[in-house]
Amino acid sequence: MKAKTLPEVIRAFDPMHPLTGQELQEWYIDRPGNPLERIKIYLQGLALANEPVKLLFTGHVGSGKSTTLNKLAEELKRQFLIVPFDARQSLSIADLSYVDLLLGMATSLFKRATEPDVLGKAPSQIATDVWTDLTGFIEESIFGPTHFRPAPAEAEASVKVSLLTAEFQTKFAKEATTRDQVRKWVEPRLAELQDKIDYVADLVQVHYKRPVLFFVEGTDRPDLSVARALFLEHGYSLTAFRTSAIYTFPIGLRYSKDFNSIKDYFTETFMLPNLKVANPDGTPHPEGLACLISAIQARLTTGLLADDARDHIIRASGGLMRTLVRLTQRAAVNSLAAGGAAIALPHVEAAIKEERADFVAGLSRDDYPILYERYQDKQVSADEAVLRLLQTRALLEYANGDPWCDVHPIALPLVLERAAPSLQD
Amino acid sequence: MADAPLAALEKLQGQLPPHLARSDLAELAVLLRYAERGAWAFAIYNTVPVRDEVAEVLRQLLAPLPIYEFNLSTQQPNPLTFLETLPTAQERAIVFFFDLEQTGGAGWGYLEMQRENLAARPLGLVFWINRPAWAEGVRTAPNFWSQRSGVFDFTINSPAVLSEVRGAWAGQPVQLDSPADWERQFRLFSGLLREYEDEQAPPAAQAELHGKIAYLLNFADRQAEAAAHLQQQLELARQAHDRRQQVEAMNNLGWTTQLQQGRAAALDWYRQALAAAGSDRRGRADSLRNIASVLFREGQPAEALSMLHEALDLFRAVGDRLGEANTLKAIGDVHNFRKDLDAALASYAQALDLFRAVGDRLGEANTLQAIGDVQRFRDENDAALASYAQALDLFRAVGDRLGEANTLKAIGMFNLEQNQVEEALKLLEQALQLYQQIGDRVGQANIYWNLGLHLAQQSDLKQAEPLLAQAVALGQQIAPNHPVILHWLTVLEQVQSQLSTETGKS
Repeated sequence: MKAKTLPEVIRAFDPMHPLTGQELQEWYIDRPGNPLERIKIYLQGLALANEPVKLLFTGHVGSGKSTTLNKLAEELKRQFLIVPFDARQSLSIADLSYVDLLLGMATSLFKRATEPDVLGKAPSQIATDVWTDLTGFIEESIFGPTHFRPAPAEAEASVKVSLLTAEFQTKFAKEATTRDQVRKWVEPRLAELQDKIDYVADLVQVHYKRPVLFFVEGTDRPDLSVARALFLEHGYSLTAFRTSAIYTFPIGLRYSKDFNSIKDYFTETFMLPNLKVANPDGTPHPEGLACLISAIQARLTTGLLADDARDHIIRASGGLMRTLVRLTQRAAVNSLAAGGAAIALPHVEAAIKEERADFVAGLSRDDYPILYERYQDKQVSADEAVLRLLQTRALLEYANGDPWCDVHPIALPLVLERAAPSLQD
Repeated sequence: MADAPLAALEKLQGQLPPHLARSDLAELAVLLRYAERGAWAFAIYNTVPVRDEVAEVLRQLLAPLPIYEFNLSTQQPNPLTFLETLPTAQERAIVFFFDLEQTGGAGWGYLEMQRENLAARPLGLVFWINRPAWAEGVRTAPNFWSQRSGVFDFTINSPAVLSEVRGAWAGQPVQLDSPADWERQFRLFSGLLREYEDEQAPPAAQAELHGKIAYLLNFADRQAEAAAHLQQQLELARQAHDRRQQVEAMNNLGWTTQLQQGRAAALDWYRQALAAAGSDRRGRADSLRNIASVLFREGQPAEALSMLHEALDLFRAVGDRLGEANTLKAIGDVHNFRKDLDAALASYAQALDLFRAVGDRLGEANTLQAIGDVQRFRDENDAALASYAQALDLFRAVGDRLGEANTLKAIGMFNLEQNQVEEALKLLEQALQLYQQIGDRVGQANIYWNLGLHLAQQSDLKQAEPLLAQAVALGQQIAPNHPVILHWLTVLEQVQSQLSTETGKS
């Protein structure tokens, strides 16, 4: 439902949550260069034909990746058993390792498979044998010598698996010593873990009639060095099982020299492009602008946002969906706090000023000349500094055609102001 | 502005000082009010008093939404740990997180790691940070930062206003009217002290804050930390040649020493304070009253009384009504000890009036409890219970657990004497738990002793013996071979001997 008042605008433009459920149906906007259909072709063409695929999915933080994956899940839920796994919720992102990831994926699969709608469809003897086997596997090959709370002996076999996986995920996320112990114990037994993933996935396919598809989110968020270790040094392990999987991937690593080696492990890489608000030469990009207008209009009724205010938000967002959402929310807050009933240009300007203060706080003096050079040449490169600025969104990348980059429109006045003296020299 | 918070804000704007009447305040209130699925906001400040003033205004504007407050620290850097203690995970509420800067960077790490967990709760989270922390957050928690709803600026740019606001708050007396007051004032004075230290403010101003923090720590039974702050107050007061503060620090060091090491060690500090006070009448009066309290407890009530009257005259001469009230209460205690009950009640009544006049609820509670004790001694039981009930309410209201425990014990003992055993046991159990929480071994020993003695008097020696034994064991730890403890030991041995005779007979 569209917002009809400013308080409703504040609720509808929420930068904290990706779209789900009813909002996903009503507010999701397709965009030029959206890889959704191409991802579906890979999954429906290959994975459904028993040729598992491993995909990387990348885009700027706040570009709409989580919402796009929610949309994909919605469209594929009748063809696949989707096992979502969010590394951000279950693991320690700061020291994320490939063993953690595989353990998280495996335990999420085991847990999902114990739900009555899935392996409950298997003949009862088969199901009991599977769960008994998995209980032993979790106790001996995952926990090993690590202290854990065993499932009650009298519990049903499937309940034991469910309880043990929950126990594992909680302990593993919260306790650093448990993480260390389990990693050391599981690392030499990884082949066994991958076999178990395949074994349970095969059973799901036979009895539930749908292949397993992992959605692994949060793997685009660790430090670049952690991400490099994950995807480059252990790309093989992340792709060795037979099940299909989509991993989110850091945009900074996409342009690093290592990417050529990383991509060999994976079937394909897809990028969710930022919406273009302008072309490299600075002329407006009508298609991108129209799309961003639709994204705003889908959520609010006319009259709440003046056209010039709306256009200002769109230009300032740089095509980043979360920035667009936040600017609109803050402009609505500004208007309401000033006693207004609609958003006008000054409310947006105040919101932009606040957003700009973030760049003032976050950018170092050395960043400005680099940003100014990229503003001039628009070239994406694999330099560490450029990768970092892409990661922090001071630089925005635009794909859909030859990739190019530009300074975030909100940071641009700062870059021009602070790089100017060196230009005059 | 039809909306209630906005209407309230509009009304309030006219009354707010200029440094608070700014658009960011209204905007933050609007965001927190309407972002029903939750929102993350950062509020930037450069002095803790303004942070607390804004928080207070928001409390008024956002009522009845529940507002919780948590102080982060290096020991407790994880915001999620606090959120997990809230009544329900799905209740809409506002949570203020203070001192994210004091977590050594760990707080940002947790926010970055756990943002999906945090986003799953319909909470308006407000993180109060200073400018350096702003840059740190943008750099070290970029993903959490990108999901924020906004940054709201409450910094004061004018050095004159900044200095005025800090000075006004640093000069506020400590006033504890509720448990929340303790948290707020500890946060405020600790924050101000950090700001003063960073800016190398005059030693006397820093010393004042150390003194206030020490008072709060003493109130929370954290004597060792209090003593460290008092030592710093003393050192800074010496640097500043501030005699009043030196005397105050010495007297308060005497009090913490008394709690930790006993009266003899305390007396040294009080005498040093008296010597340092010289012609400073208030300092002199404080020191005399403290020395008198030790002499009184050491069995010299006449000397104590004479010093207390000297102190009373001095307090009256300088117009210090709180000092006067405290001294009258102490005089009442000496009369009470000498069983001069009319004189005791007369002093207590004067003290009570003064405590009420100056709004000191803790002093009022202590005096009411003492009045209750006198009334009980006179068998004016209804009046005694009424006094205790008033005292109990006040102790609970100000969050004084020791006072609460003492009053519960007094009412419990009264019930025990009236043979209302069930009610008595309930109250004594509550008192015992409070003593255990505070770590007050004397209180615990007294309860074990009184319960044990009551059971022994009822000839229930089997139940009485372990309680008496516990009382003696604690007593020997606190004051080995003190005459009272030796008396307890004698009673215990009699009970044990009688028990073994009975066992032999059977």
